Amino acid sequence: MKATSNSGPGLYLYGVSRSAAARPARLRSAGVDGVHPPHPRACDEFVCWVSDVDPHGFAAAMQRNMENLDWLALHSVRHQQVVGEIAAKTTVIPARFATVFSGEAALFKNVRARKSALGKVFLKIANAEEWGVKVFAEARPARAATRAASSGKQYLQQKAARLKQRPGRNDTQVAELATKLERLAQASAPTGKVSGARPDLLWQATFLLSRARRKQWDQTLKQFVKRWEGARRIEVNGPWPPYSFVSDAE
Amino acid sequence: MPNNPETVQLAGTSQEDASLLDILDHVLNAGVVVQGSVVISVAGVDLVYVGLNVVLTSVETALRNLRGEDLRPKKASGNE
Repeated sequence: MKATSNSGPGLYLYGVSRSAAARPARLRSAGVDGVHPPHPRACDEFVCWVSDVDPHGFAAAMQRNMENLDWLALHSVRHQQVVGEIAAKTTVIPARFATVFSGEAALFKNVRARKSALGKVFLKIANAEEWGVKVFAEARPARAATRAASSGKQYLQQKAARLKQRPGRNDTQVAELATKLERLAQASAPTGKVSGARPDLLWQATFLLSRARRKQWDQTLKQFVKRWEGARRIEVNGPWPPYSFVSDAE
Repeated sequence: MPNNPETVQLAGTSQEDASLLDILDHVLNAGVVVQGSVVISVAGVDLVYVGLNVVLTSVETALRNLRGEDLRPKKASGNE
């Protein structure tokens, strides 16, 4: 490949932490490309967690494969492993998946330009974790019309009727849980872009929860699990690095 | 371990693919504001960002198609 003035390795950014904070001495996770290990680079009061990537090969592979679910899954998991490992030790602002800089100069320039925005986000996410909560319907609602449709039009009418009676937004009990969780959490965000198509899903959201509130959070969820037995199922996942609450850092 | 966030099963059972989908849900949720689509040529471009709106739509479609056939992901042939 022809070398240009700017042709070192590219830098894949996993996230930014603060240099004053304790930081992992060494990460065990493989890098996003499975080859180049993640490492810290100090930039003023920040630490940028990066891996070298081949700016031509890897970036091209990203572009080619962003619609390839297998590729996307593997690389998202690697991204999460690195960010998760850092988050276990210190507060980290996760970078968006697939953020690559042409080199250190470009990375540092970008980070310095966002200095005050980054500072605000660090305050927001300090001592907090991200949690996902989903509520599923356990029992299917009885179908009003079970007779076979005799025409295409009738079929569509029946289908529309079924969709209409699907519980969800106007389920007051789900709304009650949502309100309680929102009160406990520092922030909430919509989620489920990838998984959201499941038909039995009634509601889902992502929350930023202070570690100090964890006990109340668990108690609230358990209370609803008990109350909803046989009717609705609650699924909770986490703790995640605060992926969904850092867009202010952009 | 935060490395592998647990999916806490509070009641009932879940699909096997739930945790992978959860990872995608959270990892790809970072900075949901998508400014247009992608610049991926690295030469001369400092920040390379792939348009996730495109990605997410296609992932959703892929998952929906998968579900149409079979609710579970195919298991890898060998055990761990």
